[in-house]
Amino acid sequence: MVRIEAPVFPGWRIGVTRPGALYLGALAGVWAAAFYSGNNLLYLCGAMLFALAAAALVRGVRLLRQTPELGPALPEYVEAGRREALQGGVIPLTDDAALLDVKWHSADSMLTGRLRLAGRGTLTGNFFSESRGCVSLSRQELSTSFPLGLWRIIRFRQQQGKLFAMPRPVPWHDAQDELRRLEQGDEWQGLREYVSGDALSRVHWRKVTSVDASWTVKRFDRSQPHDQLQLLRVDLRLPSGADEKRFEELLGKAWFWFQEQLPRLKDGDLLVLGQASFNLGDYQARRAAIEALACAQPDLAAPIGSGGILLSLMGSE
Amino acid sequence: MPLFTSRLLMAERLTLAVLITGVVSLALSDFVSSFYWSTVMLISVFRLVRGPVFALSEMQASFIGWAGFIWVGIELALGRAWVVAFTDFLLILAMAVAIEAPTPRNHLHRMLVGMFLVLAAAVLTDSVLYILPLAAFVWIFWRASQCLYGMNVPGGELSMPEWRREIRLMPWIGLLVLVIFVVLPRFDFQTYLKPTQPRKETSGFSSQVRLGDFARELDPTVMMRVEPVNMAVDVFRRLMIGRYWRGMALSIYNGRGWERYPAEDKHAWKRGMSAYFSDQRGREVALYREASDHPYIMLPEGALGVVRSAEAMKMDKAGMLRFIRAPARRIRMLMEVESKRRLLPGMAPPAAAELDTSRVPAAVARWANATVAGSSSSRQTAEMLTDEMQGWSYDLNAPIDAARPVESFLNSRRGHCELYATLLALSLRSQGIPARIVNGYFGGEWNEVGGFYLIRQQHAHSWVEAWVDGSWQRYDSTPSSRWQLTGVYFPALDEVWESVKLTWYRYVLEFQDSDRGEMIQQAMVLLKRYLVPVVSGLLLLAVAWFLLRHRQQRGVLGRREWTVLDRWLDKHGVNRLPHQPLRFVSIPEGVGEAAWNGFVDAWEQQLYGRGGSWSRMQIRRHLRALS
Repeated sequence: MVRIEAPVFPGWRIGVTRPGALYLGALAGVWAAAFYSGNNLLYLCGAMLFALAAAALVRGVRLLRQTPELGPALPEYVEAGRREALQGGVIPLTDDAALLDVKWHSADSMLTGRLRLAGRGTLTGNFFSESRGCVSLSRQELSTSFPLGLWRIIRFRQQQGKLFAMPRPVPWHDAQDELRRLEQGDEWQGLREYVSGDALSRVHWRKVTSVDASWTVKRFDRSQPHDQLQLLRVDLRLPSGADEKRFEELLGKAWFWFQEQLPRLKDGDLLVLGQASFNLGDYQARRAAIEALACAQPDLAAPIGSGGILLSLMGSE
Repeated sequence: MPLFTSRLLMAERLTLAVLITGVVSLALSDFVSSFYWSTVMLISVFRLVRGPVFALSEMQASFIGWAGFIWVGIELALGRAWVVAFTDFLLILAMAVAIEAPTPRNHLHRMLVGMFLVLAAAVLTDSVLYILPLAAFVWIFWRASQCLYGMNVPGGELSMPEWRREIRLMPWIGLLVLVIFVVLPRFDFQTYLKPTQPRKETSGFSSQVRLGDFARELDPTVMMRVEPVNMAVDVFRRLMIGRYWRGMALSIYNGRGWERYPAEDKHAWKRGMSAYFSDQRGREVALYREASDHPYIMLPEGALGVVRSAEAMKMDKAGMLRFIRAPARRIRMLMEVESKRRLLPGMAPPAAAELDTSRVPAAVARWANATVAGSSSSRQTAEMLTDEMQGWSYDLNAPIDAARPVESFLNSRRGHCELYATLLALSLRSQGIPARIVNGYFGGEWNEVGGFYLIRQQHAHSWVEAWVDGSWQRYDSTPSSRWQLTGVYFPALDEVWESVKLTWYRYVLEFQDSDRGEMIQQAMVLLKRYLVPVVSGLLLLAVAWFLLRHRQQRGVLGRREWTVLDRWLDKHGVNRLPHQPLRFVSIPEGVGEAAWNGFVDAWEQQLYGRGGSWSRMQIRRHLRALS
């Protein structure tokens, strides 16, 4: 019985929780006794229990109606092929302390999460996208048993949300780093998140946390002058007959480079993706670069510009 | 880590409070053993004060429950009333869950047991005080459920909503309760689950009454309340003032008291039927008859009928109206009463027992002969005897000689109404006039606050009915000084309290389908009268709401506004990631922490549409103010 969720209105479904089923059972018994006997005190008790349940229902519906857009709470990008834990922020339009379960569907994937409202709200959850691309989330399912835990109220709504599923980063300048490490000793300059392909010797084992088992790797100074502009050119041409995985690998390398540069980006640093060029020092251009990386398709033209580091699958170049 | 978190303690206290409201509501019932409820209260208060330092495991607590079940079985076998045994069992269960360890299941049990105690009390009490634990239950149940909802949540417990905010909901819940209570139909298939009350013990309304047992105490216990129906209060007051309420007629005198003559039943009426004793129609009054240990219905002088009786009843040839069974609850009866104060029409002529002089003491006959010397008619004889006795002294404490009660009264000429009525009846019989005594009530007490009459046990009275000029006539020889006495200590307070009680009985316990129909009809009339202004007002409200909502939506900040902010942040050494909420970025260079936090608060208000709408120009101005 507690699994039953009745559609009561377009976009709304209502079910009961386990304590709610007990409560409604008691309420039904009270009304049966009241109608049978005409005892007005039982009418009063039945009205009281009903009013409590109705008030709880109204409060729950009101909470769901007031739930703000969840878009700002979303990360802009996630990594394809990996279950991503989300930790974002959102400010609710209510002072209620409540929990909302969120299911946000796209065409072939789903974000499941929990919105915790307590004055300020935080969306936590996870998301999995099989492949790289621009994920358009649209159908949202919000459910809660707020405020008494009697009802399970579900609201369906259309809300657009955009997530970029980025390629899996592919480390590609470890060999250079290793050489520098041999030259400069074990002094590392910073930490970054572990990505698949990183050498295990670079993992900072003492920083591995038992809570989420996240790994960090040491980053060695590349001894590059800080005032020197960075330029990465990515050739989006795919040789005929080449495996598409190689194209994804190419983009993974570009993404790896992007993340490496992120903490020290400055105006004038450039990322060239085929025919498009992005000044990574500019916030808007940086966002555009992320979107372009997520949505990139093989191109026929050579990358524009010259100099810098060129990533290409074309053997002759 | 502390053994009991503050939230656990809060849940412990709130669920205990739910249980306590249940126990308090049940304790209002006279059927409940005070030992059981006071024990549960003691345990609960101990737990409230000390917290769950002492608790039984679920298994141990369940043993208490099972032991209670067996014990109640034994109680039943020993002859305890099932109602009492049932409440004993509920209270033993309450005891078990009160002392049990505060697990989530225990909290649920407490809430359920608390609820069932409140529901059981709805059947076992009709006290107006029931509204207090009921109202407390609504509030505490709400808070306890909120507390339990926020517990054991992944990521830490949810904060408890502020009570000041939540209490605003209670008037709405109260209003909804009221609407549901009024609107729902009443079916009234049977009466077993009606609120019960213990039957009040009385004397004087049984088949044998010993002299001295009746109407000898100034007992303020309320036996009946009478209120007007569709009648002005002043009219009602004048109509019902100083009426005799006829209960039981006693015809056989046995030397020490009176016995009922087994008169044949004349009429019987089923539940819901109206009983009319005359073709005339009079004014309607409502009588609230408390549950008492006798089935007799007190009929006021001039009673013309009982409208739609709540229980089956019958009437015998002596004009005694009674229920088939004495009801165990308060009964509201509508009666039609005429303004003339006369006895019931159609009472059978006297039986032989009502002229029996075999038990009339010789001294009484001698005194009667001397008193009525010169009388020319039965009426005059009766009046002379009555007048003579009304000059004697009224004394509730006058000793009664059990062997010769009437003679000793005749000698002392001090006594209470029963002796006066007995002496008058026997004197009339000695003069050849058939007579009997009637036990009932006289007058009553006017309640100025509520505008109704209240008839207490202290208004119990005996008088005489004599067969004069071919019909039964009432004669009351008791001195009028009798009615100066009262057993009520705080009349002003009592008046208010009784008025509150009658309001409870009238508008809650006895609220009927007809009342519902009237109220809905009145509401419809009002609605029709004010339809245009109400609809216009609602339309205006709807427009205002729409405009407000529209304005709020305009306030939501979009991507362009974010870009202005992000560029400014870039300049101040902060690279905000696209998904990163402002609250989680570091404080920009050259900005004070307090100013930044204030800005973040204001930004978030803007972001979610509560603070009006900042244009990009305004954002830039705010940001310049920060720098």
